[in-house]
Amino acid sequence: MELSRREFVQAVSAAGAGLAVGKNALGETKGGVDDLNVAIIGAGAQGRILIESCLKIPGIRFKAVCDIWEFSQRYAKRYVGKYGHEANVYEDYRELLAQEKDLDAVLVASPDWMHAEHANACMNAGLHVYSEKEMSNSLEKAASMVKTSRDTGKLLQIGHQRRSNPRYIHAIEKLIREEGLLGRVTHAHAQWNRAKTEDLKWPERYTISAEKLAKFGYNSMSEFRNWRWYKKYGGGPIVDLGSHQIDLFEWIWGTHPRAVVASGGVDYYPHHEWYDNVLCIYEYDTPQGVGRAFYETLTTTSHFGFSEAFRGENGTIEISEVSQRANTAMREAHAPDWTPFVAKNMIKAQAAPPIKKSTTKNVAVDVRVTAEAGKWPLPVELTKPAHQPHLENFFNAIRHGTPLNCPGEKGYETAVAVLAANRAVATKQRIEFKDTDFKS
Amino acid sequence: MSNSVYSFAHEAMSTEFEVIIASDDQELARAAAAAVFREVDHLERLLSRYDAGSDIGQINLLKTDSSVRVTVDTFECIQVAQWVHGVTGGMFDPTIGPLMSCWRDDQGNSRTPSSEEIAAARDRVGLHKLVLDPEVFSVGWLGAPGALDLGGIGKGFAIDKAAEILDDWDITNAVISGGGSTVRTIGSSPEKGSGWPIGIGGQWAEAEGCGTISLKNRSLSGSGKEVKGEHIIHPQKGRPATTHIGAWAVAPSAAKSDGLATAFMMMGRGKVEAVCRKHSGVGAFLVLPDETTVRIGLESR
Repeated sequence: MELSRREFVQAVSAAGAGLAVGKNALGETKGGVDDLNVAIIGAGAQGRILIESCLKIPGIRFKAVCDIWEFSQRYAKRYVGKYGHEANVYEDYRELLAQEKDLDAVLVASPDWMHAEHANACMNAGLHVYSEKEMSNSLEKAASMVKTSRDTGKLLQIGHQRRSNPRYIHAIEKLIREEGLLGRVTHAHAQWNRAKTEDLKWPERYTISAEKLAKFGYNSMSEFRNWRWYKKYGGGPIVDLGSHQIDLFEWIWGTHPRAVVASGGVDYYPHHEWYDNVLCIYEYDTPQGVGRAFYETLTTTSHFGFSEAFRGENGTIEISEVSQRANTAMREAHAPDWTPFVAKNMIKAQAAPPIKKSTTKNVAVDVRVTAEAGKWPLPVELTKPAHQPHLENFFNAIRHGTPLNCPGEKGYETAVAVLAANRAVATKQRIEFKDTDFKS
Repeated sequence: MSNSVYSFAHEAMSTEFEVIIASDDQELARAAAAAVFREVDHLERLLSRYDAGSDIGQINLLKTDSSVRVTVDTFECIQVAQWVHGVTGGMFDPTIGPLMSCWRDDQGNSRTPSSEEIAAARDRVGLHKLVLDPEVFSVGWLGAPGALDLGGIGKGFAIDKAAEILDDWDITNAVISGGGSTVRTIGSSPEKGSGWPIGIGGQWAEAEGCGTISLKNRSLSGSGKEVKGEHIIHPQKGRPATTHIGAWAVAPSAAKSDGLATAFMMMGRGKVEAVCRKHSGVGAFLVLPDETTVRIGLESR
């Protein structure tokens, strides 16, 4: 609750008609010792999501925005400006670090190949860093981030935001790992499939000059806008999309994969460098025996969207970051009675058959669903944007020493597993991991 | 001026958005429309009532006297809703949900609630109960938490944001429509020098000579009883309102025309005239229950 009852009532009466709260209503808005000054490097589509979420967290102030593209600079400056944050704008992160002297933390949401350079420079300048995943498209660079974090003692949180999502914490930590709802989990299955897309374009007047593109290492404006397709800048869809979910397999089984096999290719978009589809199987040695996980990412057809299924001898939990897509447990007929879990409010009672369903084509919020019969809805809702709890975890770590939910070491382990899928496709070989592979 | 006109469509907010762009560059038009649709999808996520993590979802989960920070877009949308609520004497009210629900059963069929039910629902209705703090963009309920549904202007608001995106893309002549019930025009059509020809549906406007009006940098929304027997509930009385057969509103922004058309359905001719007189750029076309038509500030093309 942001307002105490007294403040709220005062605020309302001060506003007369009750249309707007008076300026003095919120003590916390005045800025205090608890304020954290932050900058963002990379204010594109993902940066915008982080900015939006941060602006909902009390005590976070944007002091600087860095992006090489004027379009994104302008957008971000205007956006935080609406909240009264006077952010300075930079094209070059070195200039930002030289000029901004009262920062506490930096959010890095630049293209993957720049994460390490940006994050390392920030930590070396004494700043804590929240870096988007994937840490890097190169394991060497990813490892350098962990090392810098260790050497400087600065916090490094990697943006696998499901690790802070109370819905996932409930499903994985509580139901699967603590309560053993599913019994032994023998398999997992996850996918992130998208409809075909066209390349991103840009308004003509915001074309970056060839000279500036070259200075920052981009071959063309089109490559800059569509960097995810290119090996120089990114890791392709298995990294962009798969990384979030492959990370969960390690969480479920509490161990790294021992091997991965994969198939994929540039089958549809002739100008892409990275595989436009990858299908792979990871193997895990768990204390209870072998676990296998299938993962696919398709960029030409969207059936099944994005969700994860954890499949055990006694049932399956199906979950998605968008809870309308999947948020239930399904019991095997022979499994022990689940009603005690309902009594403990660990799961909800089986739902009645669906009553009404209406559909639109926005992929993120596409259905109004009453859970189907035979499914036991999970009781925890995330009542915030998906990235907010992970950012809060990062800021709480700075303020109060709360442990990070995805520190650099953890992010590195996931990067090792995920980048190996691309290698397995390229070499047509089964890739076997050693425990030491995961040490950063 | 360019001569080609391209049209792009996209489903969102339970309707179809259409962007019509006059441009010589088809690729530019396509890219601009794609940017518009990304923005519309983004706004749908913020304004969705069915997602506990959306801004509206969070507002609707608030307890008494608590508040939540929302994105600036949601905040602005609520502010437009407050403006429409204010100028229509509360006849547009996006918190009317609890009252609407008591006139329908679980299957969605109409029923007649008891006076007690209506009184209980009325305690939870009224946009004045929603309090905004513009300093930190937080929103809270005064007293018992209500239910906010920006569906009545969300479409129009998305169209207004789409117009900003088109401006970023240097598109100067375009039409954006949401489900055909709200349209915003930007600049002019290639054929007509001034504005875009926009139709007002139904035989009444045709008879009145305003079946097509010319609209430049303004928005038009229409409201009617689309489903037979569906009640439109009077926000203050809590009972089915006496309504016109149809109401259209013209306004400088699509969010405003969207909300005004809804309110005009239940407002007497004199009150609608007063709103149009007082606010520049606002016009109306009403079809009264006896099929008399009223036209305020709309020129035929």
